[in-house]
Amino acid sequence: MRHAFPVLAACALAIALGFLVVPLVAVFARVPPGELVGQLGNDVARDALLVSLKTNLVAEALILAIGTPAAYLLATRAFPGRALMITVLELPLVLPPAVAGIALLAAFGRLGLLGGTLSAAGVDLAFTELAVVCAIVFVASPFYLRQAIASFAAVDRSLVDAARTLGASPFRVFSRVALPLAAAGLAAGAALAFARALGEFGATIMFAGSLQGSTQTLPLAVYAEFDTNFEVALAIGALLVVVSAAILLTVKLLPSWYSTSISPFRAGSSPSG
Amino acid sequence: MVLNLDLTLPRRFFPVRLTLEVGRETVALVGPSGAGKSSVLRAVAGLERAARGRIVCGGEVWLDSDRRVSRPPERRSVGLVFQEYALFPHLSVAANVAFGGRRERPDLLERFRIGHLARARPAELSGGERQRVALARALARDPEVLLLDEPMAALDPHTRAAVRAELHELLRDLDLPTIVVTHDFEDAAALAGRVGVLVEGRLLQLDAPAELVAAPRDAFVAGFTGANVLPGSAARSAGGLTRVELDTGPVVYSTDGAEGSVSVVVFPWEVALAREPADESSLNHLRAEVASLVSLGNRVRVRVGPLTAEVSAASSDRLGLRPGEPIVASFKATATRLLPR
Repeated sequence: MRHAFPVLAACALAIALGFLVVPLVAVFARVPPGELVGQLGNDVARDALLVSLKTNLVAEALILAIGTPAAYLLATRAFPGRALMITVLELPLVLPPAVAGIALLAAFGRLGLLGGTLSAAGVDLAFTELAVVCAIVFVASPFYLRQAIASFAAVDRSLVDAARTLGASPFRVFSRVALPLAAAGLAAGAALAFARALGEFGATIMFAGSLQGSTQTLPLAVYAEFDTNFEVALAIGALLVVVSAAILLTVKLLPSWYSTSISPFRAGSSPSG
Repeated sequence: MVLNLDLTLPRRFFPVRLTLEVGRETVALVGPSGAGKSSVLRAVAGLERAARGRIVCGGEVWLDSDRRVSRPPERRSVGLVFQEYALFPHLSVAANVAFGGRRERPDLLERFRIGHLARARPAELSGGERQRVALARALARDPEVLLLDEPMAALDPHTRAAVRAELHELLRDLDLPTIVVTHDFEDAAALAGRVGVLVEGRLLQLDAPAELVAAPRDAFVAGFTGANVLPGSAARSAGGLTRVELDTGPVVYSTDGAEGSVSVVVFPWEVALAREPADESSLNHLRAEVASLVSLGNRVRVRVGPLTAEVSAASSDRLGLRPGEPIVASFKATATRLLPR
């Protein structure tokens, strides 16, 4: 009976793998690969790809540009309310996407909290590409922020101190020391946020709708097509599987690749080795 | 150029209070870890935000908490060599050295014999090489004050002696107000003209190394300089001698005058070892087993009962010293210092 537990554990692993892998294989098994690629030429797929690409690039740029200095501040300074701030920033991670969508509508929608102010300024967000960007940023930025805060906090404090005693201004410390040393972690965070953003569905469909060519992203197109044109939906699904797998692989390989580039001996990032 | 410190540093268990004037000389701060030595250096560099008091360097006020003056680190002209050196792991040796002055410094690379390592990353260097890079980097900004935090701690014992001599020469040539922090009295004595003993935030004694050895102001300072410190109680005795009954039982004599609770201070090199009490001038004899032998090149440190003796390797061989064997440790009453407890 001593072997019962290892055998049970092996069974559990087999079940988990089977359950998670079979659907992924099924995406590719049903339609031959050549035909899958062909289906991507379909209007709906092409438009969705374009919308996804545009909105995700803009969202990712915003997340990096605003998230990086914000994360640096949170990681390197101690001030009252810091822990609470971090918790608030992380909240969208665990929030149901539909709640995120309704919250965005309540804030920035035409009848929302800031809707009046926005329309007075001539901005109408709801059901536009900008709304897609907002939804994506809202749900995906915590993935980057969390990782970026952790990466900046992991930078050896004495290196920052050393830079300052060498005459570096706070900006130079950030750009020449903290940023390069946190780069691997930041890239991993950016990739995770991008993966989450690419798959965003719930908040987008509630806040931006699903209009082909303007707010219909790839996941929305899968949903829109699956009862009318199942093969197009499958093709888009296959594309998303491939891209997501590539991102995951990047995230996993990034840290080890980066540490070899810092030191040929892979002695880690601390000067004491 | 003079660096003037009058500092109070709040810390968790005790505040550090230090008043110190450093001219063109090297002052060492020694003491056990956690005594607040590194905090003093960090305060001078501007990295300790809680520092109170005044820091004036060559007429420039770096800190005056009464007048709410506190220059940020980048506006204080200090070269700080960190413990473990804190070299930038993502930059080459040349870029590390160029960081402060914002230009390449081939002259400094040559001076510190690291020119051939210019393209190397810190992780590829030995301890001694890292130390030289750290020094070159700290000096690249032509600082007015040099601060060294445990500069020898990251070195292995083989390179230590050579590096110590080299560093001593460098500090003499630089002729800058320099503060070295170390927990090793030998390093301090080798590098500094004056040594301050900092314990629990207080400066117990600040003197030339020889003076600390000859006239330690208290038992802690004596212990720190490497002396044996044995507690006992003293009473006047015949012939102008003081008789001390050690807490462990034996009786020893000293030419120092004292009464009541004292610490008996004897340096290891004042302790002679023999198989039998010899007919010589030493008054003090302790018979005990050899507890341990540690070889230090041509010297041997012998632990005998409560004492540590230091004898030449030759006499250790002649006596055939072995752990567990009884031996007599002798020292003169004139070499026996008494400090009040």
